[in-house]
Amino acid sequence: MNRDFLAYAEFQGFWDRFAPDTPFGREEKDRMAFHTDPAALEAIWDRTATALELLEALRADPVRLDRLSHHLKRLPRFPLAPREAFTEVELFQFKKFLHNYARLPELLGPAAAAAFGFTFRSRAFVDLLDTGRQSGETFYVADAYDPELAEVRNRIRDHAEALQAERLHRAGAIRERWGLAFGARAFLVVPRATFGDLALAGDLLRVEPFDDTQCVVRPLATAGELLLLEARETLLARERCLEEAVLARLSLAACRELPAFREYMEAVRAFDLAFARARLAREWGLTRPVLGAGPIRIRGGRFLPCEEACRTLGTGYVPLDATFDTAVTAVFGSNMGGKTVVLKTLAFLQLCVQTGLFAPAAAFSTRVFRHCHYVGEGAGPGGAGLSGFGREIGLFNAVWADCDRPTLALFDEFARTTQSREAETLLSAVMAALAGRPGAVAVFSTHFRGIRRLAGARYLRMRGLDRAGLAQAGPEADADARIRLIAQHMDFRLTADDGGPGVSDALAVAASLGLDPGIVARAESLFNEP
Amino acid sequence: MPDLAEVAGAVTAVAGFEQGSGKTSFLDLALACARAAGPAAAFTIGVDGAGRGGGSAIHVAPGDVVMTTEAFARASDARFELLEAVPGRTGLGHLLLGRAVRAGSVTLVGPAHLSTLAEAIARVREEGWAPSVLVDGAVGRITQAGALGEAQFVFTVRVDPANLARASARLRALAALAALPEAGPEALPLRGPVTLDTLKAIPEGTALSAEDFTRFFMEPLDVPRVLDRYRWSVARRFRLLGFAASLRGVTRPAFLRTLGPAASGLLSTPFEEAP
Repeated sequence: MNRDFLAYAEFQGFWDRFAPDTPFGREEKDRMAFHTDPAALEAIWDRTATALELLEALRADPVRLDRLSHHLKRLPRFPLAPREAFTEVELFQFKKFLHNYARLPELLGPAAAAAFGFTFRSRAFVDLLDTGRQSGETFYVADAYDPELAEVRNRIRDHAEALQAERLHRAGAIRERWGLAFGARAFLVVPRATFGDLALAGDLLRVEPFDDTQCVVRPLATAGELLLLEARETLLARERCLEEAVLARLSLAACRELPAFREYMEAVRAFDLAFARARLAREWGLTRPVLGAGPIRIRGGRFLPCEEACRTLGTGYVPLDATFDTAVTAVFGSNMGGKTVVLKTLAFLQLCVQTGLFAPAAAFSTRVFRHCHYVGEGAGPGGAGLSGFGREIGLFNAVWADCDRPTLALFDEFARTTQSREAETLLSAVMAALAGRPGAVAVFSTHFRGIRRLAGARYLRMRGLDRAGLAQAGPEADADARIRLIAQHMDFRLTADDGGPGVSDALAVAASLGLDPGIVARAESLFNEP
Repeated sequence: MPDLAEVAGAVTAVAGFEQGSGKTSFLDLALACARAAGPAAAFTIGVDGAGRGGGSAIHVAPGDVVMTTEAFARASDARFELLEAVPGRTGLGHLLLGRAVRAGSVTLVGPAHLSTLAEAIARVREEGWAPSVLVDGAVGRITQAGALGEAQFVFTVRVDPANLARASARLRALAALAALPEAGPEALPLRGPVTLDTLKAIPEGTALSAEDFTRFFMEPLDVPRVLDRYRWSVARRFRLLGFAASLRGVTRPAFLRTLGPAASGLLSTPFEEAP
């Protein structure tokens, strides 16, 4: 994935809204795979379409939808490699996974379950993990796994009761002798005077000095208690041994089950991703793209970050209609006229496609590119000694090197930092070179109207500013209102460029943005000089 | 006088001013009180708990829920039914939420991130695993405990003749900060720590709102002056359940005198047996 292209398309924020429910889906999401195999993409979209149908069907059954989401969200990761002994936590993960996984096929329905490859053949393993009447989502090495374990635990229980009786007896003696009641407290701070001769307390209490007047006392274990504790330690060690043996037995069964678990995991991953893609498609009005080898056609394409910004700003948003049917396209237009948004819309839609999402457009036909590049402000490494122009040349070299394979390259005001005549000749040469590379689709936004008109290239322009309308509108005080005013009088649609002189409306836009009127007047006067 | 019984049915963070303030002993006692409302859950905050590495352990009864590591659960004489595997790993191994099926002692271990702890506490309450939650807060890190959501606080403090004045000043400051009212619309919100430096440029008498009372970072003796200088409130209130003081070489009346009005926040000294 080309990081500059990703940043230019402002795609990450939208990708963050793609929210798989399971760790398996999230793992795939975090990889953000850039798909270059059309067949793989079609398969992903087929699954998304199936999930969309299911989502539609579940509109009428919100309880089932909730349950589906509930079980998906509770699926944990589990170990994928066989091991001699899994830990209790790992066996718990197997069990919890199976408990939630087993409920999915019924909630999906037979058609969707089959489409995503849901099968279940682990009933015996579930029963094994449920031994001892456990809850479906918890795990414990229950007594029922081994009669000896049950026996040892019974003896531990007996010892605990005997210990309790010893302690109660001792507590009674302490209360009787000094009136001290420990209750749940491990120690007490008591006045030294309570004891008189401290040595006499030694048979029942451990006494330590606290301060000048008080001491800390703790009950002292009796001989009977110590014997019980010693015996208990032996029993606890035996219990751990027996538990290890149970865990080893369960681990053996888990290892046999691992191939099934891998299948289950793949089915879950496929469904989780498709379901998340379907939710995103429904929430944002995305449609299935069409892949082919022909031109790129966009109808009603929406650059979602810009659409959201417009909504916040209170300006209208105009979806993009465009066709890129030549290797090279140049887009001219006013400042703030939407050239960059055209390029960003294309970048955004193409990233939706190649990350396996549906696209925010009424219709989007495109092809699969091996490489996507952005050349313009903010792109490329900042290396020492490289100016903005130097970085652009470096970036173009990278595009040029990739052009043997299908490549989409977006150039936003290429060569804008150099002398205009040299820039126009450089830009013309670059466009001509890319027009000769059949794998490349290159789109340039530029103000340089002096570039050469090439036979194989298309020239478009934004329709631009209604200057008369803008002039009639009153001045606006704040920056947001000024932007709204310009947007109201800007036609953001694309049209064919006739090759005439054209203008970028820079002075009118600058005036609207509050540039000192004297400076604007002087600039207009200079501009109109013969 | 506040009552320790109020830990039952609530989330309570136990914070200590310094090592040896009796935090863990107090937690054990509070757990016994919390069980009046049913099983109790016990947690510890991050590094402090994790760093303890086999140190202090708490006593759990059947039904209690704890966060610990697999190794500590196995080594415990209690036995646990696994309720959840906590994502991630600490230096001491995999963390889990376990429900005691047999009484015993276990070492608590906290996750590396407070958000994980807050999620685990929310889960315990949502699932109805335990109505009462106790958190062994890190020493001197009340800000961390502030990230736990709807929690009340208990502070443990050890008082001796050498630190009597300072400990009392800290408790007085804490009581005053915990009593700040919830912010009104006119208050200027202050984000992050409130220090003497952040207040330098703000005119006296301004209505200010701190995020919560744990955000004040200044010497205890500066707190009353700062509270007098501005009209204070907090965006989020936490209930201060009280202080548990361990008095060594200091009499209770002497301590109460130095506390002044803050003495009303003193819990009955839990381990002290009246003569």
